[in-house]
This record gives sequence, structure tokens and C-alpha cells, in this order.
Amino acid sequence: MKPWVNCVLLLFTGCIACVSDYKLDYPLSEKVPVVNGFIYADSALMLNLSWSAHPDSNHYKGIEHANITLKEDNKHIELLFEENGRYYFNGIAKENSKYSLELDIEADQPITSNTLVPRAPAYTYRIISDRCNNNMLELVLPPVKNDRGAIYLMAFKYEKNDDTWVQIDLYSNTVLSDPFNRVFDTTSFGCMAYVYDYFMRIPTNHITNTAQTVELSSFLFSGNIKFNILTVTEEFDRYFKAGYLQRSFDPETNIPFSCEPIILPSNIQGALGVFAACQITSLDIQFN
Amino acid sequence: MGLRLTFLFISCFVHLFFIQAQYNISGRVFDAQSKEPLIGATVINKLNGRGTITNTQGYYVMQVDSGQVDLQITYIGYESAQIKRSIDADTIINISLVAGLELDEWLIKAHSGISDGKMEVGQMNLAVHKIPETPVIGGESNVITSLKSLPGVGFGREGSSELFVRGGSHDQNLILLDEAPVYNLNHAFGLVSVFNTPTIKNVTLYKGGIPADYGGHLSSVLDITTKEGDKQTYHGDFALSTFAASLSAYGPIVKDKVSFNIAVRRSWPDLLLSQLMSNEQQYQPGLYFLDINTKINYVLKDKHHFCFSYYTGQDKLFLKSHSRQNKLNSEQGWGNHLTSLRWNYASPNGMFNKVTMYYSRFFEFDNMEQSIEGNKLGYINQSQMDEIGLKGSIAKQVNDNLHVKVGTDCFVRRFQTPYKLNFQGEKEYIVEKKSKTHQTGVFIYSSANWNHNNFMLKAGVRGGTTIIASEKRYTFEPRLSAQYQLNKQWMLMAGATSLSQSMVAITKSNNGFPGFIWLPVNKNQKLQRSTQLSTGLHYHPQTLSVGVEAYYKIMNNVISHPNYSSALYEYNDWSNIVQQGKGQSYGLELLAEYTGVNWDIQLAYTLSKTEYVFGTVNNGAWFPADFDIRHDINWAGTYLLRNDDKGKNRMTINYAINSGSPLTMPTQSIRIQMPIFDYEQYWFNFGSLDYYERTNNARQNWYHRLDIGYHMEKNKNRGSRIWNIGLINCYNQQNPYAYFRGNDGVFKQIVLFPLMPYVSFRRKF
Repeated sequence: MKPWVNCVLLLFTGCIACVSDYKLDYPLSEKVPVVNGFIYADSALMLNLSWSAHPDSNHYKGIEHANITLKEDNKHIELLFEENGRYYFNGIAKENSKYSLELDIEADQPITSNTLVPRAPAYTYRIISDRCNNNMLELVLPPVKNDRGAIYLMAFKYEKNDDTWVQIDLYSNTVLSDPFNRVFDTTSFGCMAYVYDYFMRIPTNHITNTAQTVELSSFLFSGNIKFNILTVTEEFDRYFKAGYLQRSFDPETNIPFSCEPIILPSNIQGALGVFAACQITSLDIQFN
Repeated sequence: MGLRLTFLFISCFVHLFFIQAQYNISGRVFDAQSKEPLIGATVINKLNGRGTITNTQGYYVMQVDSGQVDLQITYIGYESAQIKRSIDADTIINISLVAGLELDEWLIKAHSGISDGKMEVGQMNLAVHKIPETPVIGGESNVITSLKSLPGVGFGREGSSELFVRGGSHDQNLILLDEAPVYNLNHAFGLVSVFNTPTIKNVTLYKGGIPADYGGHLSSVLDITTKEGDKQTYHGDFALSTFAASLSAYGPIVKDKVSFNIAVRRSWPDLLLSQLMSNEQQYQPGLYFLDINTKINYVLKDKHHFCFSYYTGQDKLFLKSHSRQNKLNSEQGWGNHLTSLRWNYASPNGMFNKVTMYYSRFFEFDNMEQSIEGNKLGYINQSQMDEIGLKGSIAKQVNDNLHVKVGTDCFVRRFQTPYKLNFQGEKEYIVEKKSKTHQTGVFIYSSANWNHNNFMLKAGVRGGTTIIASEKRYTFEPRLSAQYQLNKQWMLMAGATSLSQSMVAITKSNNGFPGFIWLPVNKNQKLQRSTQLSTGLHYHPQTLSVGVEAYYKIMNNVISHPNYSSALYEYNDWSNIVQQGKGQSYGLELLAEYTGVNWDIQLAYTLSKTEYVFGTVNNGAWFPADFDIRHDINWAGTYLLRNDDKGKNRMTINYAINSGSPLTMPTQSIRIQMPIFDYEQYWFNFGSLDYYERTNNARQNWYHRLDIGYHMEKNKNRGSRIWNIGLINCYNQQNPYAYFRGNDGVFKQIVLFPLMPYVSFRRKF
């Protein structure tokens, strides 16, 4: 529904509204340390530490030689090396393991955080067809115990010519998803009414009690398609969604009435950023 | 303890109801033609200079000695009346006034030589007849816009219909429509308020010195009464503006006894736009708002007055399709239902009794149902609040100097907190459980108005209990206001008010559309409380009126969610997100009004500061409230160009300027490493994010806007025809509505209300 009603509103507001640069001095603050600590199950452990910068800057100075301690289930993990603020550890993230972080930077207060890597749910799927014989994927999501996180679905198509994976749009009618990044598309590809921008987010509190089925479709469901299903913790989910909302506002598609600054929720004591875990399940599917 | 004090206080007054001294003259003052009661009419006994004013039902009562009385009755816009009688018993005298001669209110006061009681600390009566002439966005007259031109009433957000009074947030105002509480003020995202101006008879705003009759909200009381309807002849009213069309009818059901008033208002641009936006697959979008006001009045033997009011109003956004393959019905909206039934009885011995029952519902919803090739799926996402109440009071004029009132105010509230239900085929999946919470309140109050020579004192107390999850929370709320007439021109005023509030409105985002839900204070939270002190000085020589008031308000246990953006959270576990903190607001208000023969000017200036503190925000430091504006100036001038038998033409100029609302600006930017694919693959800049160290850490540039309106009224054989034309933001000042970071990394501003002409038409018949 969103783009249709938005059009009605945007026709009204667009006729009279103006967008221009806003000139105001930033109320600058002291630089603060930032931790980018996304832990992916079955992937090497790596943290990125940097200093914050001027609000208009895109250049961030890495924090070097930090006194950093990373533990897995209370066992210390060795630091292999650091490079420009990137710290590489001797370990692979394991599901259902708890990771804790302690950091000392320039005699500031200690920086701490912890996270738990979620288990990989047993996703199953089957390939079906819609009434026009277009390929559809029926994905079964088993119930997830953590009712505060989310599942993110993304699809990629393999391009032989470039030997790369290119992300493709997902269509679905499911009521399980968060509608914040979907639009109503009346071309109704495969009887699917909604198309999602980059990913589909499904809050896990929608699937805590029973398994649920999601039907997905796309114009490009042919050949080799890879589905990445991210099972993320609450901290990961809130941080990612907050960042997405902060950056994705576009007055041409979003109405201005609810435009507001989005404060990033951080689970790190003493610093900004996030230290959160994610389980990625990849499904490689060959469509005809 | 609080309840005992309240009982003790009330018992001091109960015996006064049985004292009989002198004789009582009472009755109603009403319009001679329509029989509509006149609120605030002045009744003076010229023989001793003592007087009173009519209450919100048009009733008055005064004590006199046996013998002759010479009553003069005056009301703005009406010819004065004079009644001479010999009194030797309690007497009912109903008085009708003839409309037509416009009298300057301040001239009446200057000649009367007494304080008519209208001037009280923190109380303002809005000139209802001026509301339709005020330049307003879209030409749809809006009582909230007119209220915002008064000092102490915050500007809020441009185009919004929320009220911010003396530092209080929008949910801290008790808003009554014919005695039923209203919990949503907005139509069309705030561009229009829920009050249909042609139906309004009286608007009173209490910013301070709030009488003991009212309670339940921390900051103010807005008491709106609608018209009862003409008891003699039938009339109608049609109005059309850029936003909406309204049609109303009022008249007698039984002449002189029973009257009705019904009005319907609906937006109309959506009817055109939705046809344009529909496509060949028969998808029909829509966006509209609707109001229906109904009132029936019955006067029995001039003593008993029964009144039934009903209001329903709603905003809805929808998308529908009826195609065979894909049936869709998606809708989102919010609204109010209100009902009240009131009985007044004015007895000859001067007692005025009132009993009111009311029902109020606030609802918001986001539902979708779709049938694709016979397969049903959809969701229901709703919340609702219902309130049933019973109020009663007995008032008596004990003697010339003393008027007392006792009363009770009880309610039961049911909160249906937000729940979400998905369904697919025959299966239902509960996403967020339904949760109902009840809240019961029982309050008693009493007040006494005592005046002696030039001094008037109003003392009252309101106490009771609110039952939350079987737990009782007691409150004791003293109220005090005083006036001293220094001489004919100068008056000194002061007031003190204590209030409590057991609910809160939390902002919520539905698919990007703004909204809010009402939640009760739960068993783990304390009642919100406020205490306000105010003092003022008023000077009114002849046609000039200048009032200055200073206030200080402290708010404890204020509930809010300052750390969380409403767009981010969809839980119904709000108690984990909200916090309780403190607020304080202090300020100085100036209101100067000059009324000449053909023109009048009003200047309102507010110097104020409002700030909050929450333990986990800004490291526990005080920060400015969202609506904290340091300097707020409103200047309005009206010039009467023509006033004769054929009609009248008036020009109105409004100029608003303020020092800018607080703004949350980033203090640093931080690197972000987003999952799976690199930030370059996003169409927006996802390589960095904004960090906000403190809330409301900056301030917008000064806001200013000039509006001009021209009102042309032409008398017809039956009724009149009115055109209002005007220009909002005459010099196209780019006042920002919202800010965002563009794809080029630069902050942008959205201006929603540049230079905007408007036109509206009204036909009264």
C-alpha cells in the first residue's frame, strides 16, 4: 500500500514542498572510539576499531595498538595481528558460543561488551511454480527461541560473464515480514504484491511458536541463485535497522511527517558501534 | 493521607449548602432568537454594584436582600437588558438578549466598575467568532491554530494540531468536548484539528489556576462546548475549503423545548486524486478524514436541562482492489468516538446540580486482508483505549460573598495495548499478544469562591484514588487562585495548582506514518505529577488590555522514551523502553490587546524555558524539551473595512516569529561495516552513520511567517455568504519542517509550507 498512498500524499506535499541544503553548524563533540564487531558463525574473528570523525567526514582513523581481549566462553583468544585498526584473531566463531570483549584505549574507561552466536535453524525449502509457471521458492522457517532478534533474507544471482554474485529483488506476499523497506508493486509478478529493497526482515517474534512458510519470487529466478539467510541477535538487528533507517530516508518516496533523527542503539559500554553475532545459512539453488 | 485531607476539606463546606441567607435570584441567559445559552454573560445588580457571570450552561445565581433589584445584563455582540423586580423569595429570572449591537468587551468592563471574574490567572476564553477569520493553512478554520496565537501555548511543529501548554507535552492536556475527553486532536497529520469550527460555542483554556473540577492531566485544560441549536427556527451552514467540505443543520425538534445540531465534515481532495491514481488493475488508493457532531438539547420547565452529544471522527488511508486474482483491502487510520449525556438542574434556592455520563474511545489500526487466487492472508495491528465516566457536582451561592461547589469524578479505562495478529488461510498467528489493562479512578473535589470588596479567592482541593493492577494510588491536589483589584484598571492575580496523571501517549510509527498510542501507568511506575505556581498583573484602561503572567512548573515522574526512535520499535513491551524523569518549565507571558472602533490588535509574547532530565539520557544532564522555544511572538491585527446592512469586510494580518525549536544534530560520524555486501552496493551512502551525543543539542534558525486574510461577508435574505481568501507565508520564508542527510552527505531541509494561497466559502442559511 505504501507507494500508492504515498503518491497521494507526495502529490500534495510535492506540489508545495521544497528540499534545499540546510546550513547549520554542527555541535561537535570529542572523538569517541567505535567498535565494528560483527561476529559471523564459522568465519574468522575480526574486529574493526576506529575513531569517530567530523559529521561530514568519510575518513576514519583506525585505533592502533589497543589493549584488546576477546574471549570465547571465557577462554582467551589469541590476537594474530592488527592492521590499520583491524584486529584479526586466531579463531573461528562457533554457534551457541558466548563472546566477550574488553578494550583499553588511551586510559579511557574500559570498553566492554558480549554477544552470543545464534544457532543455525534448520531451514528447508522447495521450488514451486505460480500460475504462470514462474519459479517460486517456498522457504520453511522453523521456530526461533530468541524472540527479540530477526531473520534477514537476501538473494543473489550468479553472473557468469563477470563471475560475480549480483543481488536481486525479492517479491513476496508474506505477512511475517517487517514492511519498513517494502513497496507495493501492482505489476504483481507471480501474483506477488510486494517487492523488498535489498532484503526482507522477519522479526523472530513472528515465528516463535510455530514454523512458518514464506513464498518468494523474483523476475530473475533462473540459473544459479544463492539465498543468504541471516539469523541475527537483537543487538545486530536493532543496530542494522537503525543504520538503514538513518540513511535510507528519501523525500521522493518517504513522507516527511515521521522524519526524525535515529539514535543508534549500542550494546557496547564505553564506546559506540556494535558487538553482535550472526548466523548465515546459504542455500545454493539451481532454478530451471 | 491524601484522601483523608480531601474529606476533611470537603466537610468544611458541606454544611454551607444548608445555610439560607438572603434570597437567591437565578436563571438562564440566552439568545432571544435561538434560545442558545450565553456563556460568560455579565449580570449586575446596579443598586449595590454586585454581579456574577453565567456558567458554561448559561446559568447564573446571585444573592440579594429582599426588596428592589435593578439587574443589568450584558454580553458581547448583544444589546444589554435591564430588569427591575421586587424580591421577597427565591426567584427564577430567565433573561433573553437580542443580538446585533457589537459592544466592546473592555468598554463594558470599564463602565461596570467591577471585576467580572473573567480575568483569572491562567484562564483564557477564546473569541470564537474570530476563529473563521484567522488565516490558516488550506483555509480550514482551526481552533488549535487560534489557540497557538495566545501566550503560553507552544508553537510545536508547523502545521501540527498538538497543544503544548506551559512546557507540557501534547498528552498532558485534558481536552473536553461537551464534557467527554478527547484523546486525539489530529486530522490529516495535524493540518486540521478534530473540532469543526461552525459547531463550537465556547472555548476556555486553563493554563494555570485550574479549578478543582478538572484533573487527570498535568498541564492544561481545554474545555470546548458546542452549540445547542436554535430552538425557534431551522438553519443550515455549508462550508468548503481547500481541505474539506462541511454541512450542518440545527433547529427545533419541539419549539422552545427541544433542539438539535448536526454537522458532518469530510475531506474532498482524495475523491479526485484517488480517481487519478487508480490503474487498470483497479487498485484504488484513498486518504480522507471525517467528522460527525450531533447534539440534542431538552429544557424542561426552565429548570431541568438534558443534553446528549455525540462525536465520531476518523482518518483513514487505504488501498483496495477488487480484481478476481488479487482482492486487496489495506487500511490504516485513527480516530475518536465520544458520547456524553448531561443533566442540569437549577433550583430556585440557588443550587445548581449537574450530572454527566460520558464515553470516549481512541483507536488506531493498521490492517490488511488479501485474497490471491482464493488464498487469504493478512494481518491485524491495532490498539484502543475506552473510557467511561460519571461526574456530578452541586454548587450553591451561599451569600453575596461565597460560592461553594462539591463534586465527584469517576472513570473506568480499558487499554487495549497494541497487538498484532497474522493470518494465512485458516490459520492465525499471534505475533504480539492482546493485553487489556484496566484503570479505575474515583475522585472527589470541593471548591469555594470567596470575594470581599476588591479581593477574590478561589480555594479548592481534589483528591482520590486511581486503581492500577489492584494497587491503589492516592492523590491530593490542592488548587488556589486569587485576585486583588487594586483599582478600576489594575488587578493582581496569583495561583497554585497541583495535578496528577495516570496515563501517557507514546509515539508510534506505522509504516512511516506518525501516530501514538495511549498507555496506562503500570504497577512498576509512579504517577506523573506536576505543581505550578503563577502570578500576574493586569492593566485595562478603556480599550487597552495588558496582562503579564509569570509561571514556574515542575513535573515529576514524567514518562517518555527519549532514547528510542519510534520508527525502530514494534514491541508491545513498552514498559522496558520508557523511562521516568523530571521536567521543569518557567516563563513570562505578555498579552496586549487594543480594540478600536474599526480595528483591533493583539500582541502575545512568551519568554520560556522547558527542559527534562532522564537518568540514561545525556549522562543525566538536563536537556531542552522538543517544544522548548525561548522567544515566541505572535502579532495579529484585524481591520474592519466595511460594516453595514449589506455585510462586512475584514482584513486580518498575522505575524508569527519565534527563536526556533530544538534540533538533534549529529556530533560525530562513525564508520559502519554493514553485513554481506559492501556499502557501495546501496543506493544511499552506507559507509558512515551519524552519532548524536545529546538530545536536542542544537536549535533551528529563527522561524517567521506572515499570513494575510480577507474576509467578505454578504448578508442575504436568509443568512449570509462568506468568502475568505488569503495568503499563508506571504514572503515565502523557507521554514524547515524536517531534516535528513541526503545522498551527497549534506544535510537537507524539507519546507512543507512555502507561499500558499487559500480560499474558503461558507453559506449560512
